[in-house]
Amino acid sequence: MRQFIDPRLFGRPSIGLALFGCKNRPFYQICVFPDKALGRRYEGSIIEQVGSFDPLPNNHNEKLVALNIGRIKHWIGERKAHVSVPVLELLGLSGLLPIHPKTYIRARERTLESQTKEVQEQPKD
Amino acid sequence: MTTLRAFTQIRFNTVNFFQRRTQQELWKTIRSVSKSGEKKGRRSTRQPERPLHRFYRIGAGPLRVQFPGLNAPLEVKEEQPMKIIEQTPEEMKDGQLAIRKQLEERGKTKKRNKEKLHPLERGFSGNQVVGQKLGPPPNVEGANLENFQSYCLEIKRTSNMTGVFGRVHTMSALVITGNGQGLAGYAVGKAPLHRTSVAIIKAMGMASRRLFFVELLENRTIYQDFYAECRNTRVFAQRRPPGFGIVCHPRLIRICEVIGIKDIYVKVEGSTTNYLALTHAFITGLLNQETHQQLADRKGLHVVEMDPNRHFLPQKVASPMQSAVKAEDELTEMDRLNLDDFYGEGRYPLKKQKPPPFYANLPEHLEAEWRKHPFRNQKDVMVRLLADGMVPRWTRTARREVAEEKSRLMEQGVIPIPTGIGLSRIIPKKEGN
Amino acid sequence: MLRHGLFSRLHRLQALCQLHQPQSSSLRLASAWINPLISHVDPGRAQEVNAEKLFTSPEVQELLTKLTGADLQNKIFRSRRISTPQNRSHYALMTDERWEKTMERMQEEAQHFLQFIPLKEPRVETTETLIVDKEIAGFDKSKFVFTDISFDATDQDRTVVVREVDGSLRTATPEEHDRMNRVYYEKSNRPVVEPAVFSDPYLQDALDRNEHEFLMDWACMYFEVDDPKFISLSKTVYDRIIATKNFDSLYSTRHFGTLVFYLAINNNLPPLLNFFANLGQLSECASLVRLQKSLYPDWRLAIGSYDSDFKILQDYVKQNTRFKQELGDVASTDQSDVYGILKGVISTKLPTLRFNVTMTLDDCFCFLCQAYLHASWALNVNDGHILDELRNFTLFRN
Repeated sequence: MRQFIDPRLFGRPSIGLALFGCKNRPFYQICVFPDKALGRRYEGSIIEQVGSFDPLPNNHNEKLVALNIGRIKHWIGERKAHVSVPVLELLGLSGLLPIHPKTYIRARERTLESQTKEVQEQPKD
Repeated sequence: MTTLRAFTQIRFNTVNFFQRRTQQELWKTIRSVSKSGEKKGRRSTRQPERPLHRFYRIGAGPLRVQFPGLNAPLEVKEEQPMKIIEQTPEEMKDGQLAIRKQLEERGKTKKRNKEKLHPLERGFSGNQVVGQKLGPPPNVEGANLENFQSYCLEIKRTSNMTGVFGRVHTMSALVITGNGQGLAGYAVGKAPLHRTSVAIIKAMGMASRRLFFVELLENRTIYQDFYAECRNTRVFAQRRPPGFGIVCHPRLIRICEVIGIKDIYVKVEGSTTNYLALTHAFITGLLNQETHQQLADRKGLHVVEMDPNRHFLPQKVASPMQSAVKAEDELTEMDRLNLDDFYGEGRYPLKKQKPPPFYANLPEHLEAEWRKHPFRNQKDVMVRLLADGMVPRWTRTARREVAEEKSRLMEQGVIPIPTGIGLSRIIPKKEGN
Repeated sequence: MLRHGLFSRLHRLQALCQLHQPQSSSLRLASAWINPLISHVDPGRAQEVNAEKLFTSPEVQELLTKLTGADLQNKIFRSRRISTPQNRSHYALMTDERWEKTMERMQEEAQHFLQFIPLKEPRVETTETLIVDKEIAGFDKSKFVFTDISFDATDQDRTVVVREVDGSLRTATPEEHDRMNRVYYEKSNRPVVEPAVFSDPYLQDALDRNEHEFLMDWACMYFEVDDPKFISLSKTVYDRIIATKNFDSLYSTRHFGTLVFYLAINNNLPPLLNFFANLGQLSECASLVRLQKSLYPDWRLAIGSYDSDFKILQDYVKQNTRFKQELGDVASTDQSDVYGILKGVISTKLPTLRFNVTMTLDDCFCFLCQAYLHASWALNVNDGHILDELRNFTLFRN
């Protein structure tokens, strides 16, 4: 059976978040994978680890992200890597790339949520 | 002879082999051994005399009768006549087995009921005398030997072919004795067969008369590494830092203890079971040592110690007292040798790498190691969390309490539940579940 | 295009931040190293002091190295526990020449252990806001801290930026920056969370156990040199040393120079002078006075280049009669007192010999005779009067 090939991703490596960690404790490594046509992604197929991201905030209420800017620039600029949406969000937040639309959506959803919560709490008071 | 069985035959010439001879004559056949029989090894098949008369139960027989004066009280009440009861078949069987039961109760073992020794009092193996502490040697006139401790290193049964008696066996014991302050002595004592204790005592006495003195560095180790050999036993001894302990052949451990060496490493090559050659070699090497002062005087150079604990700062330990210190141009090739190799006669012990255990490459072992892999960091994490004060104690209850406290705060809303990139949405629980 | 060169701009900004120009020309603050509690400097004068510049000047450095001393036997190369305790001592046969060479090499190695820690003013906790994006305000409940883990960056050079909850992007505070370094570039004995020993009550416990050197060594390994916490910790430790007069704990270590400088810049020399006087080292006392002079040149005391040590001290004691009570030990060194002279001479000429106060006059004399007989003993011109006194003394004895 013929497999569907996504023309956007054909022949390009992709930078994405790889989930490590354990139960109830996610931790992402930002890794470069070969394109999916060559096989599903798994830990052994990582080409290079280019950073890390801890989604759970620490005691100072910070989420720590490490980015190897030099290598990211190489993969994106020279090797034409495809970057996944979460990684694009992180790079946008860090200031290297423009802010991703998803971040605007997140912000809007959050403000709507908090507004609805306030509206709910007001009649109770 | 009157019997209760009135109507059986009375025979007067019923005699068999066993009834024609006395008890002593009969037992003699099993108990004693002739001289030629000894040589042919019949000693081991001999049996001791069994006191059969003890198993004889007075008044036992097929009919149970109570004879007054024998197995019943003397005065008989005239109302009760003498009862004659036949024995049931079970009782007859019990009677036959009674002897066996008695023997089993006593125990079939010979008289070797030794008490168990404390593990620290044990010798090299089992209950044997070899390697056990034997205390001070028997008194010698004019010497105070109270501080001396002795060990028996070996007990042998040696043989010598003589013209008169043929093969003559002797017990030989190798004993060392020492006071832990550098004075020690060793000797071999001999005594006739099976007189082990006599041999040991003789050896202790001889050893206490053949003492030698060994100087020790800081009263705990040898001055320099040395090599010594005797017959096919080669001994490489190396000094070690304080607190290292005595790491060597078990016989050598005892020897070092009595001399007073506390930190040493010795490698024995060649014949490790020729204990006399071993002691001889080791002690020869010890006696050929030089103190730092003697070495300095002989060489005409300062002996300098460089301690790793002091970042190898040189400290003068001994300087030549008689002669002047040599200058750089007076030195020969021999003087430039590394001091550790000085007494080694150019030899080094063979260092064999330990081979991996037989299970190292088996698939089950590899799988077990792989299962342990996720937990390789746990110890460091534990130390870190305890040091940072995240968890008061490293117990399951304490850790669970910390986690439950955090989840309680999140449920109450004090700490926000984390959301965002990389985390899933929070869906509130359906009420009613 | 604004975003294109953003990270290179970030690098330059970071470099600027690290340059540390804490004092702008308009408002000069007093140096953080001047402690009003122990200082005898008037506040107006204190404003003009530039501690960093003074510390790095060559005369001050020379004086501080001299004052630190190099006690190989009992301090720098004292017997310590090391990580591999199974190594045994090495013995060697040496000629005199070899011995001399080895001792010289050990002296050089000791200098490595006595290298000063740079004295710096505490850095300013400024951040620069790079971008303000109000549209994404509230995108997450926690801040994002981005660290650049490129291969060719050092601990100081690294770029660390923080995206706040309200959407603004700013450079990290120095505290956050150091913390990220500790998280992503682990070094032994440099944990992420500050060890408990650097704050009370554990700090007091450690100092009670006389572990000043260990504390200061760990602190200088853990903190950055211009970290305000490190500076306050050093000052706390020094203050407690001064209060308990426990200069021995840091004498002949790399921290003694900073301690001496701290006292000198606060114009509070008497405790140190007492310490050196008790050791009998007159020349060190005089060096202290010279150090003070070089820090505050417009001071009342004038020091000629050929003044003997003793003269300098005498002038100092006269000038500062207000400290007469504190300078009791110093003042007791009288020129006519041969004991004092001998003490001084022995300690200068045989610095490896720690002078024991319980030694009698006869012992001093024996020591001197031995020193005379042994190695080369170069006397300089200033000690001529000492030689005369000695000659008189020998004539008297004989």
